[in-house]
Amino acid sequence: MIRVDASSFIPIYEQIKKEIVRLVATGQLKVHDPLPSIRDLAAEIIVNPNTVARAYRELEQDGLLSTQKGRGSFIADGAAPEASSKLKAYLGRIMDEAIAEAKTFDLGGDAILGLFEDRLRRSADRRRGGRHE
Amino acid sequence: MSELLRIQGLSKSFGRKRVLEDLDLAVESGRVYGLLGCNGEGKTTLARILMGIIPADGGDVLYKGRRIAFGESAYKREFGYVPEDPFFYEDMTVRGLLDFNARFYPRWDRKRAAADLERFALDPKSRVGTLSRGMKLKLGLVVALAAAPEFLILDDPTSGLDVPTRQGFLRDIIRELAASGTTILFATHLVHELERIVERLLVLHGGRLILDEDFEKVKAQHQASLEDIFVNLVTKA
Repeated sequence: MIRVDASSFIPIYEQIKKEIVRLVATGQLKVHDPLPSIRDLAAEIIVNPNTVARAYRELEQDGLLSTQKGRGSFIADGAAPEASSKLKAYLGRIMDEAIAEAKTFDLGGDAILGLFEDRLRRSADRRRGGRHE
Repeated sequence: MSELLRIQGLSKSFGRKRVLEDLDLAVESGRVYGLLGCNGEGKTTLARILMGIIPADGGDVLYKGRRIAFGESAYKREFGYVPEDPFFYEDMTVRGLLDFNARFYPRWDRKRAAADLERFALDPKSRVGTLSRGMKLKLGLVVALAAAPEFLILDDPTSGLDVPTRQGFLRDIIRELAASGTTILFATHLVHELERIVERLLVLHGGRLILDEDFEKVKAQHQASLEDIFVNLVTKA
């Protein structure tokens, strides 16, 4: 379920955090669902256990996880709206980057919007095309 | 975190070639140190000096604040060492080799050794000489971990092995880390292996450490993969 790209320059603990946020925001992980132990997840995705521990710790600070001694970590109450807003913020940052890049090409708001709509249409076409295969 | 090991002004030459030159390093307990260097840059020399296999020409190694003299053996009971080519008595059986090692290590964990053998599908009755290199590496790890080391030195153990075997080896190291919080010095020239577990990055070049920094910091600074960072550092140096 959780995947990381070790050669990416995005820190691995950030990738783990984002994966869990994504799973919560898309409903694949629900409130009170247990998470794998630090040790198990570390062995599964082959990363340092301290890295997994850091991701869990930070998600706990953000209110997405609750950890009970001896029982492990669970998705916390109210995690879903928090995860959605985090995911929106994350996607927003990617869009901001695209917008900033577009502005260096002197594109105006309408042109940028047109580009987004065009990409959206193409991705929808691809998905529709996929069903016929 | 407390300091486990300190290396001060370490130097070593072979003939005219200076392999280590006034090398300093402080190792904190419970962390994973990745030691990167091209072939022939002295990674193995450093590991062998730490293991007391060869003497240094100059400098000091302090373990838990105490200076280690060449020829001393007591401290080595707390060290685990998995070299690239583990030396074993080829005529011994796997069980015989474990029994032989058990006598040297006061903290030897028989149960653990037996469990690891089973997990690795190593037959205790096999003769060491008949094992493949991958199986020998696993045996090397069984021996190193059964001794319950505080400090584990891995010297390019996975080079030349296939990817599934390497991943399996890394998983075992990760289990060890999670269970015991062992301090690890992982020397390699295979950067992909390292970026999954390293916390502190060391780059050995021209006999010195040209980098000794937290890996996350290095990544954030360079915004690049470890492979690119390594190549960049070594070619600039």
